[in-house]
Amino acid sequence: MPAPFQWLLDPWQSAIVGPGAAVTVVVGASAAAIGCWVLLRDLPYAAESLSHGMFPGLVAASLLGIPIAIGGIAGLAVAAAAITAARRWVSPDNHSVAVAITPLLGLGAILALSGPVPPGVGDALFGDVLAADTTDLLTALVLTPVLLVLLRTAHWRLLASGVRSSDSSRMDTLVICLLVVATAMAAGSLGALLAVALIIGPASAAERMALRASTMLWLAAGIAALSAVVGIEVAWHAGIAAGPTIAICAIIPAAASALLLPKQITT
Amino acid sequence: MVPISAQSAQPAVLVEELVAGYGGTPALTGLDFVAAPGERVALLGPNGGGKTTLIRTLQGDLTPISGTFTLRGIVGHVPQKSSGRNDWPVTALDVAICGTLDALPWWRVPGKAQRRAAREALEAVGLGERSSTPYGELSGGQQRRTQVAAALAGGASVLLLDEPFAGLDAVAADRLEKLLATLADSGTTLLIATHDLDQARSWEKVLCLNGEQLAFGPPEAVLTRQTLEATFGSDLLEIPGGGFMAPPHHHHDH
Repeated sequence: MPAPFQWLLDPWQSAIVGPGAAVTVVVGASAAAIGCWVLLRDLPYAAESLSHGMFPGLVAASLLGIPIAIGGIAGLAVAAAAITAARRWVSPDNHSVAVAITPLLGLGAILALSGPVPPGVGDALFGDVLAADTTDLLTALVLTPVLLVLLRTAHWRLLASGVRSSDSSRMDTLVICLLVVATAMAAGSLGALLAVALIIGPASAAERMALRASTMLWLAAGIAALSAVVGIEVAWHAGIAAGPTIAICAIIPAAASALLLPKQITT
Repeated sequence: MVPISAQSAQPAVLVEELVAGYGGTPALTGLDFVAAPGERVALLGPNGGGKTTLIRTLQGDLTPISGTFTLRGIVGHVPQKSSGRNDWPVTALDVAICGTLDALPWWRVPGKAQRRAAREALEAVGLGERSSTPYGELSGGQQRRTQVAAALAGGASVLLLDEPFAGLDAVAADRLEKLLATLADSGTTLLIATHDLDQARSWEKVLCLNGEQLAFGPPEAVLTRQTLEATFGSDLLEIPGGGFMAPPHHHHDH
């Protein structure tokens, strides 16, 4: 085999890369597809805030000695409820999201700073792609089809909500619920703070390339999967952390398309 | 031209003692009118006079404060130009397909039958060849006709059109006018918010609104100087040589 190919295949011959890469590809593709609706419904700030809102749940779980994933999901659920309530009853604008999430972040900081940094919080925030095992892969393979069925079922209703400017509140709630699942899944690989890169980055790039929503979703999923593979290659050969590298790889297409491509549909 | 209404015993739209609004003080009172199948009813009134409130009430968006209304058949809605998003990644066909969703349970996605209905509706409004065009790239008139197609694809027999002619050039307005005439001929009842008195004169009925129902009936009976002054107040423009013109349209949100 030619040396360059061998060099490219090097990471994949390691036993620890396979499951982590597979999980990140599958989860990233689903998260990016959901990210398209997050962008289209103008909810990227909610996505960013949601991942920050996990923080108190992660810290509390760590302090209480319960599985950190349960704390993360609980934190996400509380953050999603706070965002939804603030958007519905305070204001649909981003400032209400900030008002809802900042106290949660503050609570997490108080808990985290009340003693030694709780174990596991670092991985939960910044991820550990290569720590994924077969159980993580199976979880992703079970959850992803469920998400895809939900997306397929809701696709036309979500489209219609923009065409008619109707059902906004219900559709925003639906997208935030999907976002919770996407964030929980992506956070397992990339961590809470970097998960948003896989949700928003590929969708943002795809938005510049696609004329139809369905095309945008497929493109975003493809870009996310490619970002995961390229990120692991780069991280392996550069000897740097895989999670942040994947996050950067997921954002590069968005930055490049923003600089090089006009938005396909303009008002 | 009211061939079908003459044949039909049942009204397509029946509104009785309706009071409508957004909670609090009623925005529109004393609504009492009937439209037969195939009739075009002009909703005339100044900005904020209650045209959109009436349309939103009949559409089911607003709950009546009191009174009742009955609409026979499926109701379609063509929103104001400014509603909806032009940057949404959809084609004309996608928009028309969206019109079929109301007839489907929430868990069903549009299938072949809905796509066929949407394509036929686009053909009916003269946009068959633009079905793959992004909605945001269609002209204002084409967007309005696409919205009509969406309503037709959903099987609407009563169409509520909110300022459909606003912002259209003469050619586009003429084309839309002919489309509405064709729909009326085929039995569709059209309630059309407009500021154009000439259009209103050419339709079967006129409903004058300004916070309340001021008049309803055939144009020759309703479009008198007295009614128009009550409807538009001092904004009514008198055209030299005879006739009147309603004040120009300004967009409003309710």
